[in-house]
Amino acid sequence: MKKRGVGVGSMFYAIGYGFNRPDHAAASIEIADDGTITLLTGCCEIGQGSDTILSQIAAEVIGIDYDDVQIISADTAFTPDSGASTASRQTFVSGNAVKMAAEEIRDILLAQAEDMLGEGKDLFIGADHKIHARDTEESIEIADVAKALHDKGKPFIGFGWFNNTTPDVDPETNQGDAYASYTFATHVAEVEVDTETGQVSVLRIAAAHDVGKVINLDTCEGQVEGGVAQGLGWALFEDVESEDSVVQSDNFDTFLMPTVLDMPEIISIMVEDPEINGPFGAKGVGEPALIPTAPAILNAIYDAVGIRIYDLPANLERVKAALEEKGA
Amino acid sequence: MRDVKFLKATSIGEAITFLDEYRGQAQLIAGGTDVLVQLREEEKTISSPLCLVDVFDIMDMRAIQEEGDLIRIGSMVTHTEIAESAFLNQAVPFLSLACSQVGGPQIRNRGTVGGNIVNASPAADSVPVLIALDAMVHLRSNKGKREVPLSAFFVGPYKTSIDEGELLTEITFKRLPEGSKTNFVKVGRRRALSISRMNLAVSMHCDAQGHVDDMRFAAGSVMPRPRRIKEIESLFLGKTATPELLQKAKEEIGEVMVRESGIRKSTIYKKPVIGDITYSAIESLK
Repeated sequence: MKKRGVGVGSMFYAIGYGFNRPDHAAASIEIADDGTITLLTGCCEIGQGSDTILSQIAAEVIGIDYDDVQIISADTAFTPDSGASTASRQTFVSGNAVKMAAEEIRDILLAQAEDMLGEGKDLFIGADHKIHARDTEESIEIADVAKALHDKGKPFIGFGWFNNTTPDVDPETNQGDAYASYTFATHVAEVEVDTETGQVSVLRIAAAHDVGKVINLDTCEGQVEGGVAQGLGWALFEDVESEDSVVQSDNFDTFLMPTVLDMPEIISIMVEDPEINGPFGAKGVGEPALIPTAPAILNAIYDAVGIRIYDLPANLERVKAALEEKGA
Repeated sequence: MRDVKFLKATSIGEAITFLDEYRGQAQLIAGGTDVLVQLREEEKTISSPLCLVDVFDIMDMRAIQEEGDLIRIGSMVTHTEIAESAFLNQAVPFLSLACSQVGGPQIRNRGTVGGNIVNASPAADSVPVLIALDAMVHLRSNKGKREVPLSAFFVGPYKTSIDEGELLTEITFKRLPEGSKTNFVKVGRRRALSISRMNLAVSMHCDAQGHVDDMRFAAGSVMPRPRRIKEIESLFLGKTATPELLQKAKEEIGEVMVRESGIRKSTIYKKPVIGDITYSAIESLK
């Protein structure tokens, strides 16, 4: 018999290293004489999309086109140390460092434009590669402004340093600001349990994440979907078996992960409750994406067949044993 | 590092000649989905020379044919070909169903039914169906031909009675009685790329009065050597498949399993499950 159930899992997860551990990032930006920029960051792109969003942040703050940003990341010969891509920290910490560097660049460009167009004009940088005066029709090409900086030997490099190190908690009470920010999430899973075999199929998962601000929807959703896949694998498949201290599941035919056919429809919902200390209100979503999935699935199993699984994975044997015990 | 020779046979005769010439070193390879994995494992402990005799493209072994009421499947027919064969889907649907659930698309495109048999994993998906069909395996060597019932071909887990120098060329079986209903059930840990925890094959035919006059039942990963489980089949012959009979079958199959395999770590899972899937598999045939 196949029985369906729905379960909910919620979590919050801290962003950054926390607990007064050193947690900083740095970025520098150089304006080329054609008005494009080079962004140097120590932040390592591990497939999460940091190269993309850090370029977006730089472009957004300065007011230039995303395509006019060249990013060089995690090159120990050139880029400033920005700490590891871990603890779901880089959007927040490197994002802030990049934002600060970009603000310096924006100010440098506007000051030079003012020098060339005349004082007292309310200038802004447009997406059309021009700096415009708000009240008059005047404008000047960013490329010309950039070239002037180089020709006149004026500074054309901006730098940002963001320190995310938090004060520690009270050693006695554990109370205090352990972390600078927290991401919240809830996953809802719909499952179908085969009471004959103990097989659990996940039919749908809805995943809502409060990320503060979505810098890039595609990479955010990609991270959520990947996290759900990993969470599902953890709940139902992943099992490191050992015998006499020797690992038996030493290959991917025995250490199982979800295949395409095991994956459900995933409905990602992004919630934006701005984090005041984050770049444009953003927090992080790296690890949060993975956390509520297993609890949601296990709760859905309970809803379906009234059994509680406390040891992962909720594999065939565990589910069937619990069903037999319950007398299903 | 092994000294490896690779020979591609273009005919059965050529393959047998290679097997003979390189006796002691020869290893047949068809789709390679099992052999290549095993060879990689062997690399760690065996260093003697190896001669791979590739038989995958021998056209004489790739046909699906009908001769009267005998069906002949060449040993090199792939799981995909069996799954997609309109003829087999109509004549023995549970064979196509079983082969369609082997591994994943890439494995099915290369894996052959002959390889599935000779590899002799207790979890092989085509085997319970072929056992239920009373299939014969046909072997050729330089000594001539040999035909063995599939149920006698398995000696134990991962072991058949194939001789060094022998090539499995085809599998034959008689068509099921017209109007037979079939099913194949696979219990796996996930939806694809899954080695069967257990599987079963069942075929049932009823006469005009609705009484069972032909019943085939076999299961994989349930006993050391697969066979048609007459203890289950005989429950239904001459009768209709009532819930009471289904319940009896559900209880009996677990007993059969324990009698033949003993009590093991997996019994606590397998016993209730084989009973449940036997019940619902036979019920589905009505």
